Amino acid sequence: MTISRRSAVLALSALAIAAGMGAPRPAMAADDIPVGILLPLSGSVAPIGINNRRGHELAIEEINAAGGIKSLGGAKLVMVDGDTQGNPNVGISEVEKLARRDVVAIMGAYQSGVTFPTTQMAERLGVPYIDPVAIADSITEGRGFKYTFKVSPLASWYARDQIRFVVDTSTAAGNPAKSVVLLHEDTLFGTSTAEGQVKAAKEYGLEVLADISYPKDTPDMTSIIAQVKDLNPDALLLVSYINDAVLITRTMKELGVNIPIVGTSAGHIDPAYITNLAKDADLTFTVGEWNVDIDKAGAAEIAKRFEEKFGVPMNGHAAETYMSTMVLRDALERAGSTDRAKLRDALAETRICGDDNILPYDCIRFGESGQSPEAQLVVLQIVDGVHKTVWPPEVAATKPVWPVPAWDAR
Amino acid sequence: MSDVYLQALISGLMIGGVYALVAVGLTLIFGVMDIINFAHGEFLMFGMYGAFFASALFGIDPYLSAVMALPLFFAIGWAVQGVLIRPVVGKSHAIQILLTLGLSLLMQALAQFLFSADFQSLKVDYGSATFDLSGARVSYTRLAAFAISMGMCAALWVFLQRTDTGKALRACAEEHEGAQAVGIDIARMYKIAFGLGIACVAIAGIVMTPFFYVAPVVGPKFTLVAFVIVVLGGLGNIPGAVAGALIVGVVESVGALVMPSPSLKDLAVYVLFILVLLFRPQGLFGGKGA
Repeated sequence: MTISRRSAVLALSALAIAAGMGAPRPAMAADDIPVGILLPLSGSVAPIGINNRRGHELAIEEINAAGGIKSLGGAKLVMVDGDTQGNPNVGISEVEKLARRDVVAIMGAYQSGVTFPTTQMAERLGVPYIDPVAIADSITEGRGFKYTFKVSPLASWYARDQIRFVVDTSTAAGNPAKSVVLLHEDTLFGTSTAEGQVKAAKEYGLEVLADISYPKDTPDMTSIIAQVKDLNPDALLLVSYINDAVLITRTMKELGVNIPIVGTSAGHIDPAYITNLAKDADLTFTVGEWNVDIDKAGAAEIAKRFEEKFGVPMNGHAAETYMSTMVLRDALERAGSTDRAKLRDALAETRICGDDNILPYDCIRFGESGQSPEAQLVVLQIVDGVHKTVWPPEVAATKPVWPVPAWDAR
Repeated sequence: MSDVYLQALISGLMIGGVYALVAVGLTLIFGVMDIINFAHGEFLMFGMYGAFFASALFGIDPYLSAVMALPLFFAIGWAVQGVLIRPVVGKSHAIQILLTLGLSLLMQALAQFLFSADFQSLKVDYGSATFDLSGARVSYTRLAAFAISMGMCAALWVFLQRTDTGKALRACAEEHEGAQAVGIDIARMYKIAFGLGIACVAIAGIVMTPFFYVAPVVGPKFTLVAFVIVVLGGLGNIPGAVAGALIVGVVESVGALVMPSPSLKDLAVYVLFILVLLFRPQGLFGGKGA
């Protein structure tokens, strides 16, 4: 059987397309600066990856519109995507690909499980890596990496900030909290967060009256909530997915339990929490990464541009990826070079403070481990069906309602 | 602290009542046809979605939906039996299990496709109203779910004891060939049994909607609980299923308090299950025919 030249060419080009070689590359002028964006853009977590990418995209668009990187002759930033597919192994090979395509730095990779191994590869290749969103403590702590810079708070700070919020707010209300009850779903998310809560409570002098876990498909929470009512703590710290979060709040109303609920993002920050509970969702607290209404000049303006451009509201992830891109711009300006080692040194000297930083703390800078030491969470309270920032006081949009009134008085 | 136990006891009985209606449907189907319906929880889920959409789109109260569901889900059960279940009646249990398990997966996937994986809840004004019962809070909607479920179980029992069709169903359960020999239309009895079983479980789902969420994955938990209850009460035994359901409800609820962690509350139920299988395999209340 003979193969015609024509069909051989066809087969080859089909192979090339299948292998992704035929994919169009972004058109790049000689002095454009390629920036690696490493995110899950396909697979089950793709919707979140795509949303994270929007923050980078908006920031790069604004940087280029404002004249690019001035110390480099107005060079423009160009995004080069690496799709992790949510898979650590794919992520590692994407880092190698991005490095070969001369990116000055990589930003990503949303999931802690992907960020951890990909930062390792970037370290080996000497590519600066900015982690805007992934939170696992292990990404920066105890590794001694030189090229990893983490803008997001550590996972353990969620629990720390919940406890700090309870202490601050109850003290401000004139009746300092003495005790909490922890109630969490029983998979890794719940149990590991609860461990942090136990530690933080001890550190800030709160007594943990009970540490209760429950399976998240439990059809009836009544006996658990009755137990909470009986213990009568000053606050109830929850780690829940959405359906259990709703069930717990409903059961608390049924049993007339007027204890402030402090959730851990996840179920309590999900818009479905508000749509399912309607006005019973009001007064629930939850920690979060960021909120549109935080008291930072420019935050609302950026959020507005974001929503105009993409048609969805800006969330905490997008704010973090936006700011991380600004961190990279600032370092490139100061380095005046696209050399990775020089850029790395400039990143280590980062100091973006006050209103230049839309994240809920004063300065973005990087400690020895590469972690942003001032990073912290905000606490939101649902008021009339909208999340309002109520803590920390420096960025709060409104004062928290604490203690919460009885259900029949709401 | 005694208040806490009273609360747990009451809420256990309430949810146990709903379990009873789920389990009675399962045990009726098993008793008459010798088939375990692993898609049982999915019919519960479809009942819940039915009530949810009836309320969200047309403002129909879930309790009214429950009344309408009786003929509707009876007809659905009738049709499903006629088309899908009939060919495997009397075949090996492996085939029956594969069929009903496959049906369960199909229904879950269908629900996810049609209604999305998001979970929903039905909102009614009286959803979280309660009254006080010597220190324990009792929710009206849970009490209603309990009362309706118990009422349905009782009605089913009377139907089986007093009517000709009911007696014919019991005859089928006891002895297929004998029933056939005296002129009972067995194929019709199978359809009636499946229709009734499905109507029961759908109504159990609907009466829960005022206080429970709706999602495509809500079913398997209930199938499993119902299965445990049915074994506990004796396969095919209706009063046994009711008693077993109340026991399981209370063990779950009080177990959440007594066990070192509420995560272990299911353990209490399954330990009971294994003990019954070991020492009283016919169930606490004897086998079918009752």
